[in-house]
Amino acid sequence: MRRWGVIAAALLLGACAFTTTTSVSELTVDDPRIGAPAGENAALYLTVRSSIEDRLIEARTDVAVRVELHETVHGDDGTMGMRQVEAFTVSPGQDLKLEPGGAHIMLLDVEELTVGEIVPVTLVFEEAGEIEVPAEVVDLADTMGEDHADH
Amino acid sequence: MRHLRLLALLVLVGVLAACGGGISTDELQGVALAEPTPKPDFTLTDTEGNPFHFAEETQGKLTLLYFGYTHCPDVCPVHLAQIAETFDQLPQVAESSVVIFVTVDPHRDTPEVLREWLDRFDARFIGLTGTPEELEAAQKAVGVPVAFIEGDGEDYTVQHAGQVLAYGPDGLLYAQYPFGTRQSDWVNDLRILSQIPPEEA
Repeated sequence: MRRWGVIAAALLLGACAFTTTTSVSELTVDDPRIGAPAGENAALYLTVRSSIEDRLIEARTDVAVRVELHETVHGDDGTMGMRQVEAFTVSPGQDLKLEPGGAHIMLLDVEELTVGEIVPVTLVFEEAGEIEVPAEVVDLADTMGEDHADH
Repeated sequence: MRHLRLLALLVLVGVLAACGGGISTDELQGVALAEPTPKPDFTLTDTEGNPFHFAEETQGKLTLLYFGYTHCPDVCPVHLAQIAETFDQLPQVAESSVVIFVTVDPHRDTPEVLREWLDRFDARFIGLTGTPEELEAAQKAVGVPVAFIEGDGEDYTVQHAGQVLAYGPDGLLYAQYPFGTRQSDWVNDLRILSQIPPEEA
């Protein structure tokens, strides 16, 4: 029997960043954040840790008309693009990291959002079921933190 | 002996050149070009509908050039947000710089859409568009890979060059900034590049 809608949210107010952690028994979602949209679309980033093999198969939110899972494609010619995928995999010791330039949850036809706003997002995992996470709207320049850049 | 004197002279010239004006482009954190290359020329249309002659209208200014599209949620807006943040931190650099965003999605990025999107970052950013042929010619002139459409219907995406190109006030391309550039690197580099003396008019 799968447990649905069991949400334990811990709010961690750090000195420099506001991050949230949402956990069910097997799975933890860290730092869900949405780059403040300038146009029709926006990207949601987060990190998932899981003690079992699982797949993120869907995401839903009221602030977007459609939500898709996207990975970034690096072309041989130096171009960058993105491609829709069916699922993202997470396994023990292999965190799922959605971050700028990598993969993201794409919010299409998104509403106007302001920095600091908290947007509820429902993530659907094959094993862990549905988890609602509070995604914070952040300045896009801040989505590329000093720690996130891989040089 | 003669060779030795010539060598000494060359070393001296090299040292003087490196120290000239106290600008050291060696400190650039972006992907610096071994040999800076001249700014190309192309003509596109700005968001007011006026022709924009790239070389002429950016002369003497630190120029950042980027090809992207407004439906892009990930790479494009992060670059622009980082440049806007740098301008907030370095207002004097912003005054003497120009940021050019060229759409590679002229079908959806009408001048109005482009203007509204750029204003979210910085109203000084210039948006350019053109026919598909003009845009392809501009990308080729600049030397970036030409963007192409992926997918069908209205929700297509565009695969395009991910880097911002930075031309000094002297009209030379000094460095490129791929996606993943740190905010502190932008601040460091725009400060350096803005100090390069402008080209002679």
